[in-house]
Amino acid sequence: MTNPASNTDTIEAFKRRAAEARSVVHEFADWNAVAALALNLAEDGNVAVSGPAVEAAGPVLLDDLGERAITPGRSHVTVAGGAVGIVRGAYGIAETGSVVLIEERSEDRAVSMLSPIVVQVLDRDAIEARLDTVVERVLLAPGGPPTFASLTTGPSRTADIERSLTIGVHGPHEVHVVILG
Amino acid sequence: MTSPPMRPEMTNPEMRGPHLKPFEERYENALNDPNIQSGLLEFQQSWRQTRDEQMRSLHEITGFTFEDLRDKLTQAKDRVIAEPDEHVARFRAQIEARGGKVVLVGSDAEANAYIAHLCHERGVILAVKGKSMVSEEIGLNEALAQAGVEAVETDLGEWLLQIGEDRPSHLVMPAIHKRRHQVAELFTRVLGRPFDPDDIPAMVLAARQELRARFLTAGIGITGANAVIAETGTIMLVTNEGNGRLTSSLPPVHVVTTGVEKVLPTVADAVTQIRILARSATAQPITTYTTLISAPAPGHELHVLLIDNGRRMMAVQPGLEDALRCIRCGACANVCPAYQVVGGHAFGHVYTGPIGLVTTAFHHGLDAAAGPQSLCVSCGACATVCPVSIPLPQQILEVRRLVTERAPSARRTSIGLRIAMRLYASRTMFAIGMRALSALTTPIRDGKFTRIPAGWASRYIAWRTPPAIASTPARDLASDVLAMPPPRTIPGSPLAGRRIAFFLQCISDRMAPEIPLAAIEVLRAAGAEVHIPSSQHCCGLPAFDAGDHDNARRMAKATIAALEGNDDIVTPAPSCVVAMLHEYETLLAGEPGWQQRARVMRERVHDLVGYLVGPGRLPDGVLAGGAAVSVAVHRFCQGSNMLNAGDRLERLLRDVAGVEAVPLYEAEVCCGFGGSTSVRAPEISAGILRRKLANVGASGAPVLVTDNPGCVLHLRGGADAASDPVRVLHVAEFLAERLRTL
Repeated sequence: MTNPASNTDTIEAFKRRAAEARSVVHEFADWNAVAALALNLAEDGNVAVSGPAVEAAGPVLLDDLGERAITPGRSHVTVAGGAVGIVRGAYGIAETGSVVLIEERSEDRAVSMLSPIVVQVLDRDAIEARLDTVVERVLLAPGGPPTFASLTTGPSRTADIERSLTIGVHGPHEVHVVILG
Repeated sequence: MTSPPMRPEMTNPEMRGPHLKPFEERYENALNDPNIQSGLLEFQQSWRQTRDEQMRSLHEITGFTFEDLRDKLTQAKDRVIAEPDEHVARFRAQIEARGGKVVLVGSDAEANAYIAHLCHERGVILAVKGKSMVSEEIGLNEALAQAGVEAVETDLGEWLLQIGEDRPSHLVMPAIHKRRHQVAELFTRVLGRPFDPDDIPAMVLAARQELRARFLTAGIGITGANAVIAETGTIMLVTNEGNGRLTSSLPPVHVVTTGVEKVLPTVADAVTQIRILARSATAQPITTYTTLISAPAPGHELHVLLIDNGRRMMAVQPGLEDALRCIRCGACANVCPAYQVVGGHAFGHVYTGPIGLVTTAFHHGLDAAAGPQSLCVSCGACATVCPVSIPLPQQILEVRRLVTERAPSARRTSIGLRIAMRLYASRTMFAIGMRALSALTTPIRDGKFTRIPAGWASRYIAWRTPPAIASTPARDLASDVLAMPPPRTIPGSPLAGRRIAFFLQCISDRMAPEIPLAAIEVLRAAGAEVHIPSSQHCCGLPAFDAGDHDNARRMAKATIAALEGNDDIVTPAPSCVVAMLHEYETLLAGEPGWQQRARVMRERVHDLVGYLVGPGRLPDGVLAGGAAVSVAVHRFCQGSNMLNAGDRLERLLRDVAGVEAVPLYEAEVCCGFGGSTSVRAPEISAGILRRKLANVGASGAPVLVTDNPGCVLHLRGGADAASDPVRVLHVAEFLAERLRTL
């Protein structure tokens, strides 16, 4: 276990680098705040939620979202019609400001890929200092590597036209990282 | 030394693979498109700055330097090149145990047939594609179109090229040759509504909307792979736009097309690659998405095609196998001065940039590599930024040799080249020829230049006034000088009484005798006993550089025989030193006796600047008198990139002559002389020269000092042709001038 002082440094470094990658970082106490953020960002739109997010949050998340929730397992087209997606971050990486998403089913991946705004929710103690620590933990897990894991670092972007950085191409144009607890 | 057995691919070196316009046409088109030079200049300059910043912060963030990571990744790649089967088997066993399917395919046709068949079996008529250079290599889109399957590119750059019926010109930034107004015109035409060139976000949004429907309806998604991890059976995909994740996840079938060389042994190696790839490619600390796929999604299919298409043959080509380490970051193109002038359509084939000059020979035949490889100026910049230590300059010269010896399309020029080089290799023939040329050009000689009437050979001389051919070569002038005691002396020099066998260099001997004479003047003033071995001629570099190893070897042996002994060997031409230190080893491979003589000689070879800051270090300030002068220093590119020269010329000027050089932007970028390039592709030399002279002009210095005679003549002629008043001096001339004012 890391000692508390260096853990604070790690979290500060994570927040700084995530912001450099243009993620918006929040620190919330509970999932109610996550739901409130998502509803606020969605304006009049709906909020898609991935299976792993519901699993981590328990019933509170879907209860708070109410009828504006797009529940896990819905079709790609339905998910694509939502305004915001809420997904579970398995790890944070301070070295790069990345959030690791582990998404087995295609329907869950759609939430993080097709929603224009994505909220990634991460436990505070899931933030690690180094890239190698996390990638090895994910891929060399005792039960074998997950089907599909992604290090995501900020919103989707391109520089394909004159190397001019433009945020938001095929993935979300806005990414919020919530550190929980 | 015996050559390894040739595979059919190499014994049939004709062009194969996707159909491209002929090289000559691509070269011509590139020169006529002003967008390319301006766009790529901005791109290269901004990339260089951000990439260097990223490499500096890398150490602060990770504790590793660029060199640390480069060495680690190089070793990992080499393990796979040495034992590909074992690593492929490991990857395959892992991913197949989880439901993936791995297919080893030999040729491009086999790969295309497999994917077309899969589409038919699954009833697929629409495929979405992530960016994959391998799919370009095998011509997958064309093959699928013939099979009735529409393949839509989803990477923004690839897509806009696809709808514009264009091809990628860069490994990472495929549409870097296009300016925003061209993209806006294309979108306006194809999408049928107006686009503002300055509203790039609107163009990006249009692409998102156009492609979103395709993602949701495609029956198959095709991606490449940035790495294939053997340890865990994992495909690693690196993207910024998010199209790679969508392509691999939404359609029910995911096909990966990748080369067998993408296999990495371990997860730790993959982490090393993540840390160095984005920094080298787009100069980002990490890309937005790094996706690790170890199994098909529930209910989905995953097919991984590991494609050979010439790779195993590369692995058995001495000196070229290292090119299999390539991680397709494109850094080599981003520092290549010739690439800046014409872009990747001409400087490359399907694979572009310096690495493309090498791999093209294997994937698409020697004939496909013949034209593009002739554009390389051998400056060596590419190797300095390669994150897997590929010796690109040497490899490109090796491809040049193969082209000269075996490419069917180059047969006629190769015969002419060999005859010319055979004559050049003879000291007597060279002397007769130069004497005749000197006599012939006497009426049009004007100081240091030959004024050839306008209209003659303007492709070669309009942009660079040719030098005067001296009526008396340096060797004859020097023998008069050496017969007399030196007129001036520098006290306190370690050179007192030291014997120097002086190497004139063939070009200086006949076209710039003032350079060796000035060097001799300085060395003798410092007390050295200089003599000029009379049987010396050319070190062999011009022939080596042109791919004619037979004549290069002939000249190398004559040079060794002329110079070997106990004396220090000093030359004002560092290009010859590069040849003696680096190329003789390759050239004389298989002749251990000669190789040994070359190694013994190598210990005593010095270029003038290296000598004067090294064993012959002059006392500080001895040439510090004289008028204050503002001087810029052009760092000879091969000196910077291959001899680790760094700032030693600036140090020599500061310590010995008391002159602080003014900063020169891109001081170590090539001036464009580039040996055979000036002749084969003069537009490349001219373009690089313009970049250099623009930087020199911006420095404000009226005097430019450098240390390679070829660069001096090139820069001097270029400045003259452009009516640029800058005075170009070899460092020997500069020091001799200071000496004379003492």
